[in-house]
Amino acid sequence: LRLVVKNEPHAVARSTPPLDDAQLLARVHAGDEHAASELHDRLRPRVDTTIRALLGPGHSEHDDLAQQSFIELVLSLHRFRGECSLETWAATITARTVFKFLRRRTTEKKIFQQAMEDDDAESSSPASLKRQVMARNIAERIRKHLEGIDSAKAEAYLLHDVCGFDAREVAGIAGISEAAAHARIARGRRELHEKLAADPELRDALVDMEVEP
Amino acid sequence: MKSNRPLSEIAAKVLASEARQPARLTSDARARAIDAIARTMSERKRRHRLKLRALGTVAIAASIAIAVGLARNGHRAESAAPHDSNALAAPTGVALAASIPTAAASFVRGSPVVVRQGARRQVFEGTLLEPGDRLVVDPGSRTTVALAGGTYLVVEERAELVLVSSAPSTTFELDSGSVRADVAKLRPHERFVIRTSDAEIEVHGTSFEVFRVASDPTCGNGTTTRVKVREGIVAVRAGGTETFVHANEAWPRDCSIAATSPAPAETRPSDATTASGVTTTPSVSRRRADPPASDLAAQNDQFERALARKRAGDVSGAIAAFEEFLARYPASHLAQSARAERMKLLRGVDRERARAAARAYLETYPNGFARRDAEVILSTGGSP
Repeated sequence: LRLVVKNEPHAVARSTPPLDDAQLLARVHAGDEHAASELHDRLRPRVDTTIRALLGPGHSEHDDLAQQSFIELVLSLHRFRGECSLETWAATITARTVFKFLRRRTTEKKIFQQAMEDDDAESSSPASLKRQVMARNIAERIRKHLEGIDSAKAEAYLLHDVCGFDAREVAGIAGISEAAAHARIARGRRELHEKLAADPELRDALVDMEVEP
Repeated sequence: MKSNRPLSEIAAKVLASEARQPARLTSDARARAIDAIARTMSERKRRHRLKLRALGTVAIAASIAIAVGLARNGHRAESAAPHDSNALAAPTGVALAASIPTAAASFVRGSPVVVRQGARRQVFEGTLLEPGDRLVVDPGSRTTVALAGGTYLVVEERAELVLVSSAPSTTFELDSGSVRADVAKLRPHERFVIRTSDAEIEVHGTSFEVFRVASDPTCGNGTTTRVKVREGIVAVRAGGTETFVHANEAWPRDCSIAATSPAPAETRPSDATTASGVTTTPSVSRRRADPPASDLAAQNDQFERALARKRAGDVSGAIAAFEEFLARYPASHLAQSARAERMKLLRGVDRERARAAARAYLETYPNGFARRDAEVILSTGGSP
């Protein structure tokens, strides 16, 4: 292990302006060690968001998957053509890494792990905390329903509607044609909608959330 | 009030919102991830270096062999009859040059980059260029592009050059800055063209320079291109007409580069700079048996700078300076000394390049004063 600054990445005072994508990549290509922390701190939020969107918060493998995603990212940088932002590229690589991990675990028949005990005692007001807990419970129940539909369709739905990838990117991540991606997204949505509609309590909670954002 | 949106859509919003909640990243997890990235970068660089070394050895050896061949040809040119371009390089050089797919960077100084399909990559010794590649040479940088067949281009700082197509019809596009081209004699079916936004310069075995300058309505109908021919003949096509420019002539004829150039630019001490600031690097054709007297001071300065770096312990800087010297003055009376110095410096840092330099030295100067050093490098594998 190497010594790194202990502070939160974003709290670190920057003495120099942040590098743009090209500059950062040039430093990574050149093997500049300082680029490792720069790359990590720049992309970690997007990597974390993608993992949480696909697996839920507090997954026990979260940190290992993030680490593996960064390794895959560095190894695949020569394929980065600058057609999208580095953050989007990182999200794509992360999604692929997560799905590789999920496919290795298909024998367990457990796609979405229950959220782990999350003892992040965030400093929030009681009302806000209550709202967060409620949102978390709702999210957990949505994930339970997602477990009940075909995993390929659930993946396509999560990638497209939750992570924000377009159909072409979903196709690339899942290794399918764009037409197949469109079909899976549509079917995933429909099947999830049917399952949610059949759960009156959750349905009402979702509708309430939508009406009172 | 009821929402009519599909429940899956609302659910997606809930999940996305949840995913965006900031999570605490422990310093240990961060350290482990950064360490993994650093290790992967290091491994990637090691693999890349191995690959590059293999390619670079071929390209550099080819460039050197070509330079050696051209230098020899320069000495022979006065008495010899015209000959095939392949004869410009030594036999080894021909074989190596033929192995370069299109073009390779050599004598790289600073950090020029190549933009390929939108991605920027740093140019290293031996980086292969493909049609469509844009070479961007920032201030303080410079590179040479060696083509199979013996042609080479010195791309000066602040230049942007696009390799449009490769042999047999080699075309470059100069968007900014300047480039010095020494074009080997072409075969009947081969072409070599440098385009600018308003002119096209086609050559057949010559030494010339192309500059991009600010437009001057009083000169050449406001063209932003200037061409200076040192050897041979160049055809310049612009505005629907074709003009042949001979050795020691410039195009457009009615204006000099000095009179029409833009605001002053930074210059290097060794460069002869026009009053306007356009760098007109003293270009000594490799086919010239005797460099003009005006170049001698610049040669001595360049050589002295390289020696100063060596004395200061800046080995890589000294190697780069000697390489630059050889690229600019391959037929100089100091070329043998520069080759010998470079070879000996390489011995301590890069075995393969040292061996290639030793082979090139012996090939050029079979009885040279550094013959013994070259033989030792070859017999001991170049290790110090």
